[in-house]
Amino acid sequence: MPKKLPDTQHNMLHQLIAQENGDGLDITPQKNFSIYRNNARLLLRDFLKDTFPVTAKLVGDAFFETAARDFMQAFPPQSGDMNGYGADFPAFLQRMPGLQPHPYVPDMARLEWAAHDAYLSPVKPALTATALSAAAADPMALKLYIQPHVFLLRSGWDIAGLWQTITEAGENNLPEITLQPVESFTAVYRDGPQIGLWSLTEGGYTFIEYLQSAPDFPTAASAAMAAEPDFALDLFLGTLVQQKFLTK
Amino acid sequence: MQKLTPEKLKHAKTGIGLRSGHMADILATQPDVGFLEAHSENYFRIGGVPFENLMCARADYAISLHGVGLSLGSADGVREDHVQKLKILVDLVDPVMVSEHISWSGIGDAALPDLLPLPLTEEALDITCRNITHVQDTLGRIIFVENPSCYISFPDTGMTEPEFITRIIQRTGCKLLLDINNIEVSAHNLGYDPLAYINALPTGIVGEMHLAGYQINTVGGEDVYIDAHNNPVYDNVWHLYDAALARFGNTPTLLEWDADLPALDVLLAEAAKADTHRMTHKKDPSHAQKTA
Repeated sequence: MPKKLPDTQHNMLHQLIAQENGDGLDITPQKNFSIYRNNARLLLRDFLKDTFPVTAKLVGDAFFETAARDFMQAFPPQSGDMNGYGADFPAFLQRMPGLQPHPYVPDMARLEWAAHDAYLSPVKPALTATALSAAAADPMALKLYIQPHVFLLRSGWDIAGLWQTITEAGENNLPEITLQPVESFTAVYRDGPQIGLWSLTEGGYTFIEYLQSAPDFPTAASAAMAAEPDFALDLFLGTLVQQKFLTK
Repeated sequence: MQKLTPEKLKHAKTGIGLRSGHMADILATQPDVGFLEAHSENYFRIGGVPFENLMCARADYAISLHGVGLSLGSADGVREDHVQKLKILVDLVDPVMVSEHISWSGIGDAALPDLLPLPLTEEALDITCRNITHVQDTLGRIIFVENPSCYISFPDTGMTEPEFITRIIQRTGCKLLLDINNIEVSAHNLGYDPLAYINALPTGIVGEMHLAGYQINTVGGEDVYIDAHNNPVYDNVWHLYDAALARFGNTPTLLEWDADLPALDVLLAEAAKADTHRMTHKKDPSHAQKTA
């Protein structure tokens, strides 16, 4: 017996993603293919809108609808585990024509993806000040581990401030936006079930960034001081402990 | 709490879906329901906020894990990473039931968050059975598989959906999660008798039932029932439920409401209606047959 199911499934999935009409599929009634086709588009649009609500508000419904459809066609979900769907959306927005008047939008999407990731990440036991003091007796051998729910965003705009403004304005209000370019460094993290944003200096950002790639304190400290010669490392370490950003 | 089994769930109240919009209310008010059903994939990120909430709920309720993305009907097999994530979750939650759908959602390197229908062919039967067996072997337990809701059908092969499902269950040893709303939706859309569907299924294979409300859309000038889970259960579905109780006996039941979520009280009232139907059936098993 010929194997037909793979061909049927490839054809049907292709047509759903491409938003076609189901032509050539041996189905009845043909007109009802549109239900699956519309479901695909609307479910993925709503999924993205839930993950990127502020981005959606910034670009407006019509633009977001187009962006979500084009994204689905360029980067369809790869599995039934949808937790990773949308990771490429910020970079996709960056390449979309029509966003020139709002050049900060892709960075807002990056911030929202970081918030999504933080929300789904675990909180490990925090390193206490006492434990840090004991471990810091030999600073050259000190290893520091950043919590897995901490994510960094570097932008040419005050994205954290914009996020705050739009979120506080409520669901149906979009305040007038006049953003001036300014370099910003933000840590996105979760505090219980809430998402927190912490505006960092370049030294603090660099310190965390280095620790995320390798837990080696001396290397991270040198990199932070190089990025920001006046960086107050001792003070920053105390704040990291206070914020429970460090883990064992 | 005492460990529940699907058999003991028969004597518990009707369960409700544990959806994010009701999570805080459920954890705070701890309503008197038989069990909670969680969509497995929403909790795959171990340690995240949804997972923490699920583990809180688990302290007070039996949990049923209901998957929507495993794609048991995929011709190229279920994705191994998905099965492994499910296994990790199952091992941590120790759910009273694990269920999925007789449908497919992806092939190759693409997928959609939808439950797409399968042709009722020997080839699709073999593939689905092979996938179910692999999942059951990996999890080390049987799963419950749900009859689909369909808006289209493939060319008639002479095999009916009840026959397709029965053969899956006979070959894999899994149980049927009989979704009463899906029967009504598919029967309306594809033009068959929903009662005949129920009567064509053998007794002894149904391990759980689902109830939900559909939505009516107009497509090409005709009403199409959409399995939207966004309404109260319709009367015709309650009648079918009575018929199913009469045929299969008192069965653990779940009230699904996934979109346009009402206040938790409204959902609980719907679940209580299902309890009333089950009680009526228990007292007078012939009642359900009479009303159907």
